[in-house]
Amino acid sequence: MKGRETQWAKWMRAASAGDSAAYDRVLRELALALRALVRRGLSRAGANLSETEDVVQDILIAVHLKRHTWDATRPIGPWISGIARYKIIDNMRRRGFRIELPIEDFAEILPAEEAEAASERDVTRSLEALPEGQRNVVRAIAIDGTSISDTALKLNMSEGAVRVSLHRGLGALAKRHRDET
Amino acid sequence: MKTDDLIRALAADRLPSGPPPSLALALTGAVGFVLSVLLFLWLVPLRPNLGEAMHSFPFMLKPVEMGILVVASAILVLRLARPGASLGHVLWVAALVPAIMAAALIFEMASVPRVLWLDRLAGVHWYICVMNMVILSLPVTAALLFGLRYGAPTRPMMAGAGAGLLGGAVAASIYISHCPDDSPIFVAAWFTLAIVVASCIGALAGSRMLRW
Repeated sequence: MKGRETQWAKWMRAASAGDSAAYDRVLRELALALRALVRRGLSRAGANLSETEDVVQDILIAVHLKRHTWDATRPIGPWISGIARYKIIDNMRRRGFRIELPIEDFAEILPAEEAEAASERDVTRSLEALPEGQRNVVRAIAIDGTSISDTALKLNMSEGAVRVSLHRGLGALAKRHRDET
Repeated sequence: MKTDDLIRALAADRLPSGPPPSLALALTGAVGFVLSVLLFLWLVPLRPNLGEAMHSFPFMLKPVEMGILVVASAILVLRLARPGASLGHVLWVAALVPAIMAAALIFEMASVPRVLWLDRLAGVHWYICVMNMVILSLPVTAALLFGLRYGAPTRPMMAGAGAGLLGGAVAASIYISHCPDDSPIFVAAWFTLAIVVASCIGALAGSRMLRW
């Protein structure tokens, strides 16, 4: 499975050079692999598997917000599993579970089967806690699939303001959990 | 929001996520160092016979030991700032320092009469030495903790301890130019105590401040 990680690394490098399509692809592939990893962690802790998708989303946001901490000359697998492990433990702790997760070779984790995952993927992360401006921007881009420029037109904002609102909104989605505790 | 929607939003966000951890830590560490030096100059005078002392072996052991510790703990902090980075051999390099201290301690105790041991241990004012080193470590530790927030430490307490260790090692390095006591007995006891206290402060702060 090392070939898969090499491919992810390639996409991530392309993404940091500005290739959004490569970034979209690597995030989708990561979501598949992470879903299997998270499910395994949750079941090991005896936690409810219905939380899987929420934790996967947490990890994806963390990967996004911390992508500057990946040294592009190093393998990407240990970096991703480091983040995933941290976020799984963090989520479990917040829900009152204490777990020890071995540092696993991410390469050994097979991506989840699509069919199996489909029902869980209906789980939605609420945007309600976001300030109104950020919520509108995130909803337009994420859920309605509107481009940055169309969102700017629709919400009567500058494109720069849309970019900043999106960026801050995603940061706020990551913080949401921490403020609950 | 479904995961596919989230990914669309993440991919649309092209604003940079932050500076590389090494850059953030170098900048904040430098600021902390300058603050510590200023605090040091305000707190205590330089040792009057500093130039002369540099020709003595027991004195020179101190900068060598602290130099090794600064380098090793700096590498440690940089590694702890990134998820999945292995610590490698850096802990072994750091362990050289207590090993050198212990060797010097044994040599000193073998060559100095037993009646002088307590005097060497107490030095001129051991408690002020410890207190000052801990105080001087705080600006560096705090600055590094701030810098680590731009990283992604997956072991917050350990990363905090690393920041405290580096803060303590930097503080001790600065304090050498004041400290009038060179005996390895003194160094092994009080430098160690100060650096351990600094590391514990860092660990406590790290476990609270560095969660993300």
